Amino acid sequence: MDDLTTYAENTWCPGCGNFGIFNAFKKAVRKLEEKGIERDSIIISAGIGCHAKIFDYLKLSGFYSIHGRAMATVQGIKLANPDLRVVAFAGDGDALGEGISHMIFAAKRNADITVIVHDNGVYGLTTGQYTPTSEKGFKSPSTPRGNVEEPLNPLTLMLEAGATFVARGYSGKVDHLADIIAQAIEHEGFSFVDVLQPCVTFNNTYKTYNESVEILDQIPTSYEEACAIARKKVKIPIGIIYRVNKPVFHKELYGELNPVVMRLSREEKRGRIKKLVQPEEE
Amino acid sequence: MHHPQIGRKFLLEKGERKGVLLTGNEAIALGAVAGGLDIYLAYPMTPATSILHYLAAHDKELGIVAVHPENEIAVANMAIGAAFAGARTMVASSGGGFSLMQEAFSLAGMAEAPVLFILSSRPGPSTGVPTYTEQADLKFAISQGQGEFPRIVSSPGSVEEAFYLAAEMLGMVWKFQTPGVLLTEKHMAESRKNVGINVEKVTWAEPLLHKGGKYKRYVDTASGVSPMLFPPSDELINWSSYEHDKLGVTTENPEQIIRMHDKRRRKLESIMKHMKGMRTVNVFGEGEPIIFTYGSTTMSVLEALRYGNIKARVVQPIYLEPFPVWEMENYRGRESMVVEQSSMGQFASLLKEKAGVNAGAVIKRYDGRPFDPVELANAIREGI
Repeated sequence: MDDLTTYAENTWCPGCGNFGIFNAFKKAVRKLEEKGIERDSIIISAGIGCHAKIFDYLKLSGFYSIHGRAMATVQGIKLANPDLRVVAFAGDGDALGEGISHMIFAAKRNADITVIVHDNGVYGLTTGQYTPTSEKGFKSPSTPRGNVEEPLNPLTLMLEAGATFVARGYSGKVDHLADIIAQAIEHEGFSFVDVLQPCVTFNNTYKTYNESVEILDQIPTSYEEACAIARKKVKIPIGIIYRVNKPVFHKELYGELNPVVMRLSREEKRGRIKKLVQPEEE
Repeated sequence: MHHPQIGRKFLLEKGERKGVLLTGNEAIALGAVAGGLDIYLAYPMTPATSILHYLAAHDKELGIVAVHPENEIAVANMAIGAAFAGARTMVASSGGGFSLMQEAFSLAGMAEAPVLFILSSRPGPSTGVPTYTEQADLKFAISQGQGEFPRIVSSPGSVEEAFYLAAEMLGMVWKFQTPGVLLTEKHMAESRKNVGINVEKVTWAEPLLHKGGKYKRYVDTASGVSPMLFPPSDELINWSSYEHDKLGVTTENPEQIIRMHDKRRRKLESIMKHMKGMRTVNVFGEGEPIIFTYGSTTMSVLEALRYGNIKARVVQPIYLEPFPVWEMENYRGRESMVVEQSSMGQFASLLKEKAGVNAGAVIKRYDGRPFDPVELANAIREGI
């Protein structure tokens, strides 16, 4: 057990893609530490699902949230103390089903958060139903004759919504993924990492991904190029697909304030109220 | 004293009183700020909306942050996240939006997140009558969220009380690290009154803080309240929606489950013990009959008594959960009535269930309008 792993018993299936994400994340934290970013300032959250067990296994401070809401939880943490770097782990059902509104609005307002989506195209914890990213025709307990819906493309969705950092990784390429995650956390603004992740029990995609993922040589230089790459299906590009600097939500809202660190004292707050409602009498 | 009558409906007192003109919503906003509010989050919904407008308009002057996210679900979850980072947070909505926050309300109970929720009632169910008043959310307010956990619910009886109670409630949720609801109605939220408020008299929200050494977020204590520590820290700080051990790690162990249930239940006992030293019930006048009422209807009852020159004792529980049963002992078996704005008599039912008080008559109004003082005075006379 290393110093980023807790005593919690690991209950992921042997061979689960989550191990790759877990190891990549720990590597990313060490990379960031080498750059002077302290692990105490990295705060994690997770939704509910197999992905979310990572919260119990990672020895980092944070908030084990509820299904679909980790993106909202970390936005609240960031708003209260913008000195913290916040990361939300989410499943594809979490981020693109239950919590899709939070994803779109976090991207729209360029909230300075990182969202890592463990995208396995299946609800593993609830035993294998189709998700927003399952292929059409995917047979599952809730779609026994096959999924009748087209899947969402999380990357183009996030690009359209306004994400300023969009990447795709593969849990089977841990070093490459670790590098993406480290850069996502460093990015100032909304960073989104879609991680292709096989579920060995309900949607084993190892063979497909091992044959079809292709590491991008360089970051596309335009939004249009990013969208085109994000749509590629036969060979699946992995890497950073889009990165741009734009003003972040909390600074647009309140500038250089830190609501908890720079909190007004009791006397100051009382003084402000008096000034507002009880103007000096003549 | 001379009481000029306007349209035979309203008694106005002429005087030289000084004060400030505030609506109930403005009083709630200012009271919360005086009590230590850092961040206010809300999605617009009548009649809670003007709290958002007021705090957004005066954010810098008051040293707070006002945020309007995508929906009430984001509102409540962001507020809980902000509380994790140490910010005193408040949210508000009316029935429909409040329903969307129930999931987060329960999360706050489990994670022991201090967040103050304002429930500003309109006539329901569903969209109901948005810009009118009713008290049909009493049982909804005290029963928020799945599972068992302590919660604090109170309701102000005047605009002035709304100011002090908002601060007191923010203090209560931080003292006991559990969600609280300040229940009010459109009649209070948008009534503008000349009030005397003294910012020196409000309480200030302060949590029990960790004093060094190894930190355990959910350490078992006699009071059930675990000390708080906020990030960044070299100690691990883990809050969780799952049942958890002392460090916040998920557990399915039967002893741990019992221990955490007991810890949360002990917090409820601590809240009640603390409340016994507080003013939890207002009593106006003396003798009999006894008129039970709460929230904005208190204003209507007092006005009706004044108008009708009726002698009665008005008992207004400020706190509704935990219900201050210890204050009700003297009122059992006495000639009494209930006045409330509900069609099914939720307050009368709560009094019976919690305090064993059986009201002889229940005067109800549920057409969306506040009680008319003349009509209410007549109804009270008939009830006597």
